[in-house]
Amino acid sequence: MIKTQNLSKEFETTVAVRDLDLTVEAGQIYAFLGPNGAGKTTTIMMLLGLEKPTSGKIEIMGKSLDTDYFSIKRRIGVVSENQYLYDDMTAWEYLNFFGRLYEVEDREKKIKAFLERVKLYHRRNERLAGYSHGMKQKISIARALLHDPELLILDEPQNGLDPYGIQEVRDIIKEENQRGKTVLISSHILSEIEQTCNRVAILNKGRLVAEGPLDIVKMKAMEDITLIIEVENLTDNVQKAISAEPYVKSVKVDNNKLIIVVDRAEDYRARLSRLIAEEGALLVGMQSKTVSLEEAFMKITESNVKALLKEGTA
Amino acid sequence: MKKQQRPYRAIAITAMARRELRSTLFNVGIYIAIALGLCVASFLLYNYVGSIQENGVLVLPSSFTYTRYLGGTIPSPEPMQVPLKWAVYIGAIYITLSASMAISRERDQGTLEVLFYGPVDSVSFVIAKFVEQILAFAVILFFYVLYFVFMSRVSNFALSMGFVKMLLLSLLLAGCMAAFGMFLSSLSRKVKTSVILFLVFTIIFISVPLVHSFLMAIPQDEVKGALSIARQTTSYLNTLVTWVSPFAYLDRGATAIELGSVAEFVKSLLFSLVYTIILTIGSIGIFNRKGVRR
Amino acid sequence: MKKLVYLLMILVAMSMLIIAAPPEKVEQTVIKLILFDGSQWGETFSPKEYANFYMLAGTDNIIIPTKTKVYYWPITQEYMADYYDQNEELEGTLEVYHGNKLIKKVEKEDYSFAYPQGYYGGRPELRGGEAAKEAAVTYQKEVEAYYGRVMAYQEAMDEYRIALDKFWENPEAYKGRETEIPKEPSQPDYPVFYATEAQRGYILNLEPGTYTIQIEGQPESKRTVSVFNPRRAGPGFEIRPEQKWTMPLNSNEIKETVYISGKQTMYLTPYNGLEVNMYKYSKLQKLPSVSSGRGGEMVYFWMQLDYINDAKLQVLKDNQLIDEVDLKKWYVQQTADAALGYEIIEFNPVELGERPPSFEGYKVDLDGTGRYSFRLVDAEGKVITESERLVRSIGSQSRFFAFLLPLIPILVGILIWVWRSSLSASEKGTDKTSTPQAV
Repeated sequence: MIKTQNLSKEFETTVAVRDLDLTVEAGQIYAFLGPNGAGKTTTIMMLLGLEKPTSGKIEIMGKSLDTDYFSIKRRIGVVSENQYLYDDMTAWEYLNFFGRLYEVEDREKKIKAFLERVKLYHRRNERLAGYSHGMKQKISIARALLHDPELLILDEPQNGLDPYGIQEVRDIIKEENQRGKTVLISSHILSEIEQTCNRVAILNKGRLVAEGPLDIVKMKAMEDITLIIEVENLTDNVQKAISAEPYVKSVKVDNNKLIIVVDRAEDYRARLSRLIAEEGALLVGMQSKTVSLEEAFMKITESNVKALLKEGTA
Repeated sequence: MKKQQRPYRAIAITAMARRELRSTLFNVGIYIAIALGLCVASFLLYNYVGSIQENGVLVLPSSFTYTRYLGGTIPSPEPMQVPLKWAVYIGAIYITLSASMAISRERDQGTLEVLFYGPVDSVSFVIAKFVEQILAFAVILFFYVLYFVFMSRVSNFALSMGFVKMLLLSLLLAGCMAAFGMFLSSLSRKVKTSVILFLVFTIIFISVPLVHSFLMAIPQDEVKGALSIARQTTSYLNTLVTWVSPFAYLDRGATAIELGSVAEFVKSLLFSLVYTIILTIGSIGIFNRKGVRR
Repeated sequence: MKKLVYLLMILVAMSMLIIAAPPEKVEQTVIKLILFDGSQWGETFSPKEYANFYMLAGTDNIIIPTKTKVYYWPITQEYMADYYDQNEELEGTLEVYHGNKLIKKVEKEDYSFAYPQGYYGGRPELRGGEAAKEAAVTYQKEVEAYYGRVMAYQEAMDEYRIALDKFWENPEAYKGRETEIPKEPSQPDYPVFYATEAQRGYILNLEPGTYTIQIEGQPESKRTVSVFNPRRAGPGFEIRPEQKWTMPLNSNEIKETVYISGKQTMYLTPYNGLEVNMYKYSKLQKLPSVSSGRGGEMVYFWMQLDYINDAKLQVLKDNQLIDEVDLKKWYVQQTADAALGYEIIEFNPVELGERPPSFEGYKVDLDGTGRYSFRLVDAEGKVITESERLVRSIGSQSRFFAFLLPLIPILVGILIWVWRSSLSASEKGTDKTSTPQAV
């Protein structure tokens, strides 16, 4: 659905995006993450043709904006973090205008349906100037969905929304994805991303520092793996035998639980199971401790900063 | 026609121009401009009527001619043509001001960015804005025509071909004024800057010909030193202004109507068209350089 | 912006200094020009700064190359010639070139302006050569004859006074002999014919085009002449409304409409008119002036020539002939009882004695209803080309509507503003399923 190759954008004094290779497959909810100034919005703007790349290629739906500008744009819906609406228009007029712009069939019916979906139908004839932040964001979402786009690009769609609003937006994203839409979402609310997305890309200082399925990225964020093993007949021998293993970095005992930190090179769970049995203990359960996306994000971006600093001093 | 072959740009232009026109018509500004134009027209017609009632008789040509009077010459305009011309001037100034904010306001408010998320490009956007200005001016003209037709019936003042020509010319003038305003608008990111640019250029376009005619009144033999340089400079500037200023294009056309010269009239229409096309292309070029983001 | 204001102030101050300087007189060869403007001759001159002058095609004009003192007069922004200080006319043959081709040689000759119908009546005539001298002689003879009549009148008066004295000595003696009572002799008539003294100059009459002239072998007298024709010609009208007879308006061309306000009486005096270029004509009248003709390069205006007195005026109402009027002389009589303080009566020389008519014209009475027009017809009843004029009566409600109509867009604007403002108020509580208005 989206493919970038060596995409770069340089401004006069800074490099906003460097050699970005990104692939978003159809049907995905793809999260685009990164700290402030990482180059997310610049990338989105390049995808939409609002910024010209310094170098690299962009393909959307297998086509380039240079050759198929209008046909591509008509198949994309965009919501940005900023609510730039025509304040002198009513909600109905606003959606009707965009309906005309995108040549939406059964326009009035669809506008009515969307206004009802975002619970603003009863306020359709009010001017947008009087709308709250949350209401404006809902209107922006309705506007982005009105023409039934194949690709939704959402830049901080839940910014400034109350928990109910966040929930509503989350539901809409999931529903639209279930209806076959591809979603590219950039957000700071990582808990939301965790609940909605199935693939993540993390951008830092213009570089892509992590990309892949959500679980894998989270795993990748961890240098070591912490395993929690519940054992019956736990003896010192068991603890010693495990500690003697070369891949084990530390072992702690908490009642009948062993908390073992191993390196990430391999999956050692089978070897550890065998070892516990050999020492005469009974393995009751084993689970690996996961990190949240937020922790992973912090870890990835921090380590990336360190790496960049090293690069700089080298 | 298959959907893939639809003229997407035309659809975008239609939708945007329609939105803009609605916005203009839902604003009091245009009605104030129309009322001002009609006030000026009424003032002139009122004077004609007053003059006829006071003197019993008034001779007014069906086109603009000069009549010898008391050893000098005075212009004797057709009764409806001059009021229309002044009303058109006021309408055109409103259009220029409106056009000078058209692009910068959208950029300033960020709505431009939202438009460009969709099937809108710089060409369709600038042309839509331009079309909207022309349509707004057509609305102004519509009010004017209603007014003049009604006044013609009430007063019995004749509506002539000169009046119709003036209407046609004024639409092209609106093109020049809108293109000029849009050009100024494309230069700036803020509405305030656009308005300042509009005022500065309007003052220049009005003052340069005045200063030039003042300096040209000084005989050649008396023009020395700094005065000579000033005269030469204003002469060049004046020549430039006659091609750059949109006001000059209306003057050119109005003079052609006044003189009853068909060739000059057609020439003025062509010049206006060329001026409009050049400035619109210039606006698109500058717009592309400046980008759509705030 | 401030800099621009300062620059303008400096420019204005500098030009004022230049204007204040005393004029410097410089000797140069100018061309004294006595040019025909369509009805009479007027004088101007061509200094070297204005080496191109203008003439009407097919008319006689006087050219006199002269060495004189020239200065610029800043107050009126024009060059002046001081002929009192120096006035040396150049002699020789005047050569006229069209391109590089010499087309004509003109010798200096006598000229005079003759006024066969008197100085204040009719158009003057330019007489050249022997005719000029003859005109001057004729005028001289007329003056001498007049002096003879004056002398005879004086003698008759003297005799009359003596006879009158004799009469008063014994009036009774004349009873029954009334015819012998002395009668006062009538005053002698003034000479009608007038002519200026014969002077010398080159009489030039050229077809339209651009020419170069100079006195043979005297390049300082070289000038360019632009000879032009009028653009159009046709009858015009002086229109005198009854209530303002002293302020006639002119209607020069067929396109013009005469507007009246209700019932109206007016007097129309037709004349022959010419339409000429404003710049060329202004320069013809006043060449060495900075402001003359400025901005009039593309402007044409009508020039009034002599009156038409051999036509009739037809008045039409809604395209139907309703009246045919003869040209008459009118006299304005002061009357205290009249609403206007005067009344316009038909001129009757018997009743009014030596008093001249106030004006001549066709009297037209219009009742202000319907659509009128008038036109001139010649002695054979043929309509004279371009003589038709439309007359329209303006409506009495015009001023009221002129006030009212501009308020309508304001009203529309206010209604829209109120409506749009009302949309800010929440519609909370309305039926959520109600059908929206189409936009």
